[in-house]
Amino acid sequence: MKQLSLKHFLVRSQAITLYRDIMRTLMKIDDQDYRKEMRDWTRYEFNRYKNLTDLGEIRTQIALGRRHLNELKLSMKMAS
Amino acid sequence: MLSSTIRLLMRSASLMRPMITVRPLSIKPTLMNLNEKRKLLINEIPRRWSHVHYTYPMIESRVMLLLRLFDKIDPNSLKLDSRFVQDLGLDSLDIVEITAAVEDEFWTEIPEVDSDHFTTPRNIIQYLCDKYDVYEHIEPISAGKEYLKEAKEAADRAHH
Repeated sequence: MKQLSLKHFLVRSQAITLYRDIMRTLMKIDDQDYRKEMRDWTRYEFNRYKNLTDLGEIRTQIALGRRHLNELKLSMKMAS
Repeated sequence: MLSSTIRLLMRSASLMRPMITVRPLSIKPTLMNLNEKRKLLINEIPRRWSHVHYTYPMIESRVMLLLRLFDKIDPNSLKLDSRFVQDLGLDSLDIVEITAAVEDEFWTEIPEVDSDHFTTPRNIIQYLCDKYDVYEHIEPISAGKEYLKEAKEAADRAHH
């Protein structure tokens, strides 16, 4: 594994935290199929941007992910 | 007056009874059906048996079962000391998912500081053992046996 710079390392842990938050939220979905679909989609999105190196781009994607997560949380709150 | 009170009490007792029924351990929900169970009645909520203490074999079997059921792990190559990233070919996101599954299985929350260090199944088991104050069998079992043998010999010598 190649050495990461400090900033990349920090951004990496941010991304992992985001993924963890999303997983925790998805755990609250009761429908198994729907949960799996959401999980696969999340995974796909994360894999798509796996090879980004530019810090700005990575931060943008993390922010976008956060926004999606907030939307998801909101709609789950509305549904329940 | 008295009889009606008694009848009321009886009725409430009969209402209470289904709440008190003890579910057998065999239908304890695993990580697969946990969310299905959550929706059910209050007496269907999985019980956490405070009087049943965790033991090392119990934690180990549950963790290993969980890992075997994880779809990206090949159950045949899974060993206690196989590293997730190097040997099993998982990435950091998979480890996050494993952590989430462990959290679901053991009904706890594992802070990220700790889950960062999960590199082998043994690490997870060790962490859970520390968490639940399980100390036996952490050393290789033979060590304890030797100690027992020595203690027995010492006791024999003391008696004769």
